[in-house]
Amino acid sequence: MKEMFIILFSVIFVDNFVLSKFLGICPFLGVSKKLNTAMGMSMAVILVMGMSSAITYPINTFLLVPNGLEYLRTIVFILVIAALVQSIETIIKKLLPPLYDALGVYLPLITTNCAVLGVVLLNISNSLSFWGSVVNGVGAGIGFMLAMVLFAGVRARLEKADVPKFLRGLPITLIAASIVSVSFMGFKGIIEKLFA
Amino acid sequence: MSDKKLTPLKNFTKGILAENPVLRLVLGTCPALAVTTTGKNGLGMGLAATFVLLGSNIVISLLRNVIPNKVRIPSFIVIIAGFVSIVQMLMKAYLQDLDRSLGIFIPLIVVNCIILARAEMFASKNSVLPSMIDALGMGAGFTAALVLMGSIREILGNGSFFDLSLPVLRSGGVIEPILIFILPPGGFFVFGILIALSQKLTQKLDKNAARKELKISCGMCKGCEAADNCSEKEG
Amino acid sequence: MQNRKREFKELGIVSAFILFAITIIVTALLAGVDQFTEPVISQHQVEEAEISHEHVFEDAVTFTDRSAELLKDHDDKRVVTVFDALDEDGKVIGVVLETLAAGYGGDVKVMTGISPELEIVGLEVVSNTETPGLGTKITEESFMGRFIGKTPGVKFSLKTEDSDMTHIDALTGATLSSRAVVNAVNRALDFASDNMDTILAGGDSQ
Repeated sequence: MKEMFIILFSVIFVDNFVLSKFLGICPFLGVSKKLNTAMGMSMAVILVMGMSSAITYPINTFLLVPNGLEYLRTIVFILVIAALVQSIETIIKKLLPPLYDALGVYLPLITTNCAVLGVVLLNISNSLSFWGSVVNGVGAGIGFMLAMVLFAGVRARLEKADVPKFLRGLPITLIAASIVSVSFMGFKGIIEKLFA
Repeated sequence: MSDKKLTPLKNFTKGILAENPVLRLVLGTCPALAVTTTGKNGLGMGLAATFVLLGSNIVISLLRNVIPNKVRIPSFIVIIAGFVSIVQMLMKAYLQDLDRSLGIFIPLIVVNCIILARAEMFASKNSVLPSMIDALGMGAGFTAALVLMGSIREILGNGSFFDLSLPVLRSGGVIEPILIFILPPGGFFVFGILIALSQKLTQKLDKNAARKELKISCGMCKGCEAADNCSEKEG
Repeated sequence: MQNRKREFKELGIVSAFILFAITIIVTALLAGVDQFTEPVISQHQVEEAEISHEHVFEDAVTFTDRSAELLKDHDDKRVVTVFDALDEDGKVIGVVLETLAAGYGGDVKVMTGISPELEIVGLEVVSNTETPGLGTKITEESFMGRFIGKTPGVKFSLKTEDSDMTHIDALTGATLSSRAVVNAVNRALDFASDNMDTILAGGDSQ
């Protein structure tokens, strides 16, 4: 149990996917302008990350590794993620139309979100257990949401700021991201104290 | 855009300057930020991506009349993933050090938008030779941007250039290394400044292009059909 | 060309078949490349392991892989490999373990040479993704040397309060990375003290 909390905590704060691992930068910069789109995208990411972690674990452990097919990992995982995203889309469209209205537009974008493929590959390179992988997947999504929501707030303030002309637009957004990323560095070392 | 008018030279150089994938189109930002802690890593990542880009562009332009429209994107992804896996295996076999320092960003080339975007926008519409030139140009632009970023961060953050120690910038020299440049915040910062500079530069070079402000499309992947959906919602 | 494309579009089965065919061809190609690179990769791994083993256990001449046997019933996946260290006569004079522990940038893999009396005889950081210039200092001899030749069987700690443990000074600005090495070495010590009898016995039967 403690181990799960450590995984969850580190993937949200210490090794935040966006701000310290640089995964999922594209949607982070692209969709964080408004709070509600940031939330919608993040919810979809949490869902897909959790589910793809759960699905790729058995595929890797019982199918690829025993047969010496590790070299097919990249190709199998990306196809699994693509298929998963497609099925989630179809299923929630049929069964949960309100959820589809909220998340539908973000789902197709997620296949090419490097954070999703990133999390399933990291689950394996960190040799996490099944539940460890799921927790890591969901946690990575929550960390993504945290970064998105925080940054949406920063950007709202940035809109009103008088930015030098030279830095207007994307450059100042990146510099703001840099400062948010500094603040996340403050979480390092906190885990030992919390869970010791 | 009629590609007929595109001379091979223009086709090649557009990837390096006017349509530099990283600095102008803002594609492939994740590896651009993540692996550029040293110039060498930037070069390695750039070359690996160029290899994949070249391979996938060639194959996709050869198969462009065979692949049905319906399964276009999945087919592209399979082909790209195949080349990525080849790079992965070759690097593991012959360049272990680089493989170790680039880590999961090698397999993540699969989802690098530059590659899918070139497949979708160029290779699926052009014959082999222009597609090859396009891939080489885009790859060179990607590599150049990564090497530039990696070098800046390595020089300022670690006091070295391609592992060559620069005594003036080492601890005990004139300036202490500014470590934050090789940490994540430094990545965002250097990238922001470089984009500002490249905007300025292109404004100087081309007065017309100046009006176009850099727009981040959602997911930043122009190849994904869904991108339109998202920017609508955003706008 | 456009017409042909449209025709195909009608036929979902044809599309699926072509996608399937592409996947099969790509897979076959990868299998081919794997045939070619796999021996090179494992060769490298063996060579690298050999060099590291000799580095962390200088008195030993040969090393035998006992991982499969000893880690079979061990559910802690953080112990990666176990090698016997053998002298010229083929007698087991210690053990070399590879263990993992979480550092700042990810897992740090440490190789530890341990004598039958549970003394640390050698140490090497095999792989790490720590911050260049700060965390990567754990790979320097001056840091790793702090573990060698200390009181046998006693675990290590960065905290001075832990008086029953051997104190290790953390590297400035790299506490997490230092702690990763400490944890990895402690993990190796734990495993060695639990399994030393089996390890030593294994050598005799050869």
